[in-house]
Order: sequence, then structure tokens, then C-alpha cells
Amino acid sequence: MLEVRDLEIRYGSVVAVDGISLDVKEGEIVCLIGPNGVGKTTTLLSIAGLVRPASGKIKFFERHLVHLRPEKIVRLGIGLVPEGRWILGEMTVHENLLMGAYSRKADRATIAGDIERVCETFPILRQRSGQLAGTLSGGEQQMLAIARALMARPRLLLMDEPSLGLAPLIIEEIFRVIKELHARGTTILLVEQNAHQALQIAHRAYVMEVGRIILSGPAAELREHALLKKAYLGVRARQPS
Amino acid sequence: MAETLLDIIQQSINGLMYGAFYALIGIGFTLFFGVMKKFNLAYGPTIMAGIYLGLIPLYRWKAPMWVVFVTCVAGAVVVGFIVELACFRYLRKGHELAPLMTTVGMLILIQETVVIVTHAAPYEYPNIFGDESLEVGPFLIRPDYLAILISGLVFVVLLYLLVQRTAFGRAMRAIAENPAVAQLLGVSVSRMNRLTFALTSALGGATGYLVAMTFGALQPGIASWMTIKGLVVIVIGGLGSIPGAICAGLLLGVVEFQALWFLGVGYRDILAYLLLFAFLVLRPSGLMGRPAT
Repeated sequence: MLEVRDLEIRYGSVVAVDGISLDVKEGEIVCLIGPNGVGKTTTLLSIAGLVRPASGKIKFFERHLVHLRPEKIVRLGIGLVPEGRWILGEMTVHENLLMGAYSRKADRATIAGDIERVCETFPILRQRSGQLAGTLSGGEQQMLAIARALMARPRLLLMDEPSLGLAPLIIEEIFRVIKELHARGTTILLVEQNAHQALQIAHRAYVMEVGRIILSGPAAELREHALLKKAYLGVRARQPS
Repeated sequence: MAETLLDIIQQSINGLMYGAFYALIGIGFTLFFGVMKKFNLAYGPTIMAGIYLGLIPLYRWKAPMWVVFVTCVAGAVVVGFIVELACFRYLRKGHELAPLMTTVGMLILIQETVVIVTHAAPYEYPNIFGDESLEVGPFLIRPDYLAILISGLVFVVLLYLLVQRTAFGRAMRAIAENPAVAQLLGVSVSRMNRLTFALTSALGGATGYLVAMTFGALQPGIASWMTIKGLVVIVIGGLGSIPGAICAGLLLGVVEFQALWFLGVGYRDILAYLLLFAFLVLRPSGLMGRPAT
């Protein structure tokens, strides 16, 4: 479904992403984990078209994305839930959801039906419908950001640190929703620092370290990988006695 | 004493009616700024060029005034499109302040082109409302001023509905708040820029059609005059605020007409700039703008 090959991204003379390749197949949850500032967000932004890579290929169903603008890419069926939410704080929750459907040529009734559907997933949004999005709590804003991305009916959902800065209970809720979305047929590429939880729900994972992918494989295997346990999972690898 | 009070009220009425025009130019600037985060100093000349183009069917074919109106609007849209193409489209990635220079250049270019074409002679512009004022109690109401006020109200209501209730308006607000998010959701920034130009130019052309009638005679200098009034309005009203532009436009109108009546024609602009100066010193964020962060 998504094919990234030898992607290289620079900010000026700084190499942020140094030739990474990754694949996402239809129906998967793939996660990209690694510490802060190694280029995970930059990778997602370049898939969504907001950052132009210096070289490399990004293909979505055989379609090249590298020179497409973001508004074209969303129409191909790639939705992004950005880090830090990026909700439109001066618009109401309802208007944010309507903006989510901006890229679709659908009639009012269909869109109203979709709003109804995402509000079933996130009941709090129905209660907050007329409220300015900027007045929502962090967790509610995250739910709105996800709901808004769903309004475009994406085939592939890119999620950037959806658990960042949220309370544990809300993180649980977000991961439950991710699983639910997947069960309903959305393919997900998830960027997380919360490696433990991400590896619980993902099928496959890539581990990034300063601009490169250093490890990849089925999530179940990576959960047991010594390096990861030590570095990200907070579990000490057992020393041979 | 009572007479002075009546004069003040009379000039306030005039000022409010005329101020509706200032408010509309201010709204034009606000919409530009909201969507593009840039100033378009060529807005005044765009309106002026629209009005002058409206004269062509009038002088050539003695066309009826509704044809003149349509030509004013269409002319302003065409000139607005040229301004967008020449001063903005290919500069978007460049320096933030570049459009200030390109639009000043365009202002001079358009103004001087009209000077050359018209040999700098003032052109008479017919006033469809006639010279006779309506008498309301002790006050006189100029029908052309009243038309400006009424059209101003109509445009404001239409714009409000457009910005608040339509997908186009939501996209506009999304870009104003965060262009990256707007793009991510499928809004084409370049398309919105063009539509904003078309919208503000059409608004300018329609308003210019009425304002030209109050002048009696046209001369190209109104281009920079309108740009300056627009800038004064957005500074007083607060950058990016449509309600601010409305209040500031009306306030500017009232102040100018008081100055005109009590101090004489030479003081009209002086008082307007004093008001601007006072705001810059005492309340730089304007009536309704947010304090700079």
C-alpha cells in the first residue's frame, strides 16, 4: 500500500532523515518507534506532503507522492493526525469535523452521517459540538484530531505521537480507538515514543535512530529484542549469571 | 449651542454613511491579510482601475448604469487577478516583505497608466441618485451616502454568511489560523489566494462604483488615497479583525466629517492621521486586535 524507498530529508544542511525505507501493507498497523528528534515526525510529514524530501521515493498504491501537494495527497486517501494535535482552535468542534471532510465531494447528508459515526467513537465530541476547539482539554483535542482525520475517510491513517502528553487513562482510550479503527479496516502507520504500548497493538515495527532505521520486524519479535528492552521498554535485559 | 449639537449629529450621520466605505476597504485588507498574511497595497489601484474601466462603456456607448456597475466589478476582478499573478503568486516562497514592494510598484504602475491614458484630466462620473438630499427632521441625508451605507450593510451580512456558514468560509478561516493544517485537510492555498483576490476585488469594484458617484469627478490619485484609508482602518480596527475594520471605518468617517465641518477641508486628513497616530501610540493592537505576542 505504502512504499517508502531511500527517503532523504534535509533542513538546510542538516540531514533529518538519512535514506530510510519502509512498507505498510493494507490492513496492517505498523509502528515507527524511536527517541525524540530522530526524524519520525519528519518522515510522516513528508508522506503527507508537508515536507519535501531531498531524494527518495514515496509510493501509495503505485502512485508517486513526492511531488504532490498535501491537498492532493489527502484526496488519495492518506490522513494525518499531526503531533501536537494541530486542531483549529478558533473554530468549533463541529466546524473542525466539517473541515475534516473538506477534501471529499460528498453531500451534506453523507457528511452528517459520518459526523454521527465519529461521534459514536468519541461521544465527548457530540457534547462539545458547538464549543470552540481551543477550549477542549488535551485528550479531547487529540480525539478531535483523530476524528477530523477520519472525516476524510482515509485508507491509510498516519498518527504522530497520539499519546503524547496525555493522562494514562486517556492513552488507554486512544489505543483502544486505534485498535477499533483497524478492526473496521483502516490501515495505520503509527509513530510513537511509547514503544511498549505501540508494540502491543502493531503487527510490524521499525526502530529509528538519528535519521536511520536500525531495526525492523514483526512487533512480537521486537518486543523480545534485547536492545529495545533496554533502550525503550524500560525492562532490563537479564544478565547471564 | 443647540445648533452646534445639530451640526455634530448631522456630520456624524454623514460620517457613518461615508465610513461604511472605509469599513469595506478595511474588510478587503483584512481578508487579504487573513488568508495570505500579507498586505496588498495595490488594493486601492485595483478599485480605481475598476471604476475607470467602468467609464469605458459609459463614454463609448452611453451604456446604462447597470452595465457600468458590472464593468466596474468585472474590471476590478481582472485587475485583481493581474495583481495576484504579478505581485504574489511567484513570490510566495520568497521574503515575507517582498509583496510590500511589488504591490507598491503595482500601485505606481496602475496609477501612472491611468494618468497617461486619461491625460490626467478628471473624468465626470454621473450620480444616479441626483443632488437632492432627503430631509429627515432637521437633518439632511445625501442619497448617495445612504446608498453606500445600505450596500455596506448588505455586503457585511453577505460576507458574514460566506465566512461563517460556507465551506469556502471555513477554508478561509482555517488558512488564517494555520495554513499547514488547512492544506493537510485538503485546502489548496493557491486556489484560496486566487478566490480571495477575486472576492475582495469584486467587493472593491462594487463599492468603488458607488463611491465614485460621491466624487463627481474621477482622478487617478484616488488609488493611493484608498490604499492609505484601508491601512488606517486596519491599524485602528486591529489587524485581522473584521468587526474591528467595521468599527474603525465608521469611526474614521465620523472623525473626518467633524474635521471637515468644524475645521475645514485641509484638516480632514490631518485628523484622520492624528487618530492613526494616537492608536499606534496608545493602543497598537487596535480596537479589536489581539495584543502582539
